[in-house]
Amino acid sequence: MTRNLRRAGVIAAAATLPLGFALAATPAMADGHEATISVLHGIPAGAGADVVDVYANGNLLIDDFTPGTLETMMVPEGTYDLAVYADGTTPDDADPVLAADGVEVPGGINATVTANLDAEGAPALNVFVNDIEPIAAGEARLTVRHVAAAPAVDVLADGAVLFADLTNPNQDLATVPAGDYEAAVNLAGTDTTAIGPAPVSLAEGANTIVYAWGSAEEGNLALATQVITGLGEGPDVVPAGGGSTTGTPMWALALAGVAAIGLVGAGVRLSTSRN
Amino acid sequence: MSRPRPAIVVAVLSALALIAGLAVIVSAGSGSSVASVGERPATTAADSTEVDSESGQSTDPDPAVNPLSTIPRTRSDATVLPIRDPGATPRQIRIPRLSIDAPIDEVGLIGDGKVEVPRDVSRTGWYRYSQVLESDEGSTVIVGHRDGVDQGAGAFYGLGELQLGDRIVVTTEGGDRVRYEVVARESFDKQIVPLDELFSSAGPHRLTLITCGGPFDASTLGYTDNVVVTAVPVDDVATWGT
Repeated sequence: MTRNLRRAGVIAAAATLPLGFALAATPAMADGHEATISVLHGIPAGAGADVVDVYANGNLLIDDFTPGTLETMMVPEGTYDLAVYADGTTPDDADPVLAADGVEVPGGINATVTANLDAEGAPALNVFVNDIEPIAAGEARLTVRHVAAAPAVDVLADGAVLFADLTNPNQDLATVPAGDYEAAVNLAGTDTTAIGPAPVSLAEGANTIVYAWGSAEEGNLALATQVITGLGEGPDVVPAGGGSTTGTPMWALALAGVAAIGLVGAGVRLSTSRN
Repeated sequence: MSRPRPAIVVAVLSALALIAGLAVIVSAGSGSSVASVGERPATTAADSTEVDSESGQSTDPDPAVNPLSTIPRTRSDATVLPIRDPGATPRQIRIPRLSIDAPIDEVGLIGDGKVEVPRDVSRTGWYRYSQVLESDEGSTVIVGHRDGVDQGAGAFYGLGELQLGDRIVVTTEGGDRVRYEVVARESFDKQIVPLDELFSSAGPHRLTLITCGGPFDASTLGYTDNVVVTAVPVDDVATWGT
């Protein structure tokens, strides 16, 4: 497997930290005043957040959100106070299960908010910026995020370590040839497989984001995915004429040839006829 | 009235033939051209975002109460990993109007971003990095030669004659026959053909057929244009106007 050309730095921050950080703006969207935000419910069932409602600035954003689901939407740029409430409770009558205030969302950005377990198993909110830079023809982008209650891991593709020593709540990414892979997650530096191996197809021109989520202690570690399509640059040319492997069409050459011979002949005749 | 002399007839015909022949060879380099009939589905991320009726919309549907209640969103089951079904690989294409019934090979890239096209002009090629049939989204790209100097007309010679509403039937590796209906036919100068859109993994699932067309360019030994036909699954035609 081709190894990565580009590696991203860590852009995640735990919700317990002050979230006044600004997400790095990307130039990909022209209109610039909206952001694409996805939210992943990555807290496994049985951890006290089986059905939740997500609020932004006091307004209901996502209703009846369940573990393992992903919701993607366009939101106006701005600063958001995010809060997650257990189903049946509201900001008026309860405290949130999770909250992150002052999340700055610049226009044009593509980001994912995850509700997940931290390495020790406590619920947390994280914000990851999704790489939507163009991808060359035939290539795919793979992003892996550790949002599980588990120690450091190695991420394997087709049996070879692609990302080593990834820890919660961090990510790593690579550009690889588009195609089918066997993905697995091992405990870092060991041959002990924690998740997988599982088949996954990485599409050309897409950023396939794989989340390792769940809890090692509870035995429910699993993979989840988010796919951002439409990033491909496409090939440069489709040479589907007679041209690249052949030559000028015979009939064009023949036509020009006949014409040249004819003109010469006619010229001779015309000149002789004057006599 | 005197009859035209044979020599003059020959001269006139020769001049016309020369003009015609040269026009074919020389017209390379004339400016970029686009000609289109119908409309391709859009591929931008915003356009592909649809309101999911099953998603949990806000219980405050009045935008004055909750400005977030009306934004489009999609909800998906993230636990399902994307796995391409090898059985949905396209293997045979039939276009009744053109009496085309051609096998489909798998093709890739041959350096410098050039799409491989089967050397045997009677065969077509599925760009293996594009979508398989019956995908949820994205373009399934099939390329074919217009002609070959030593082989005559290619499988996609008549592609530019397809009409809106024409049927295309593609058979998969697994034996399914998937029916598509033509919604757009376009001709682009190769300098400006929007290959990133035509090959995009985003947007509604569609079948994209590409061959060459337009004048022959002697300087590059190829045709100047790409002829592109876009078709969508027959069951999806009603979802956008043509």
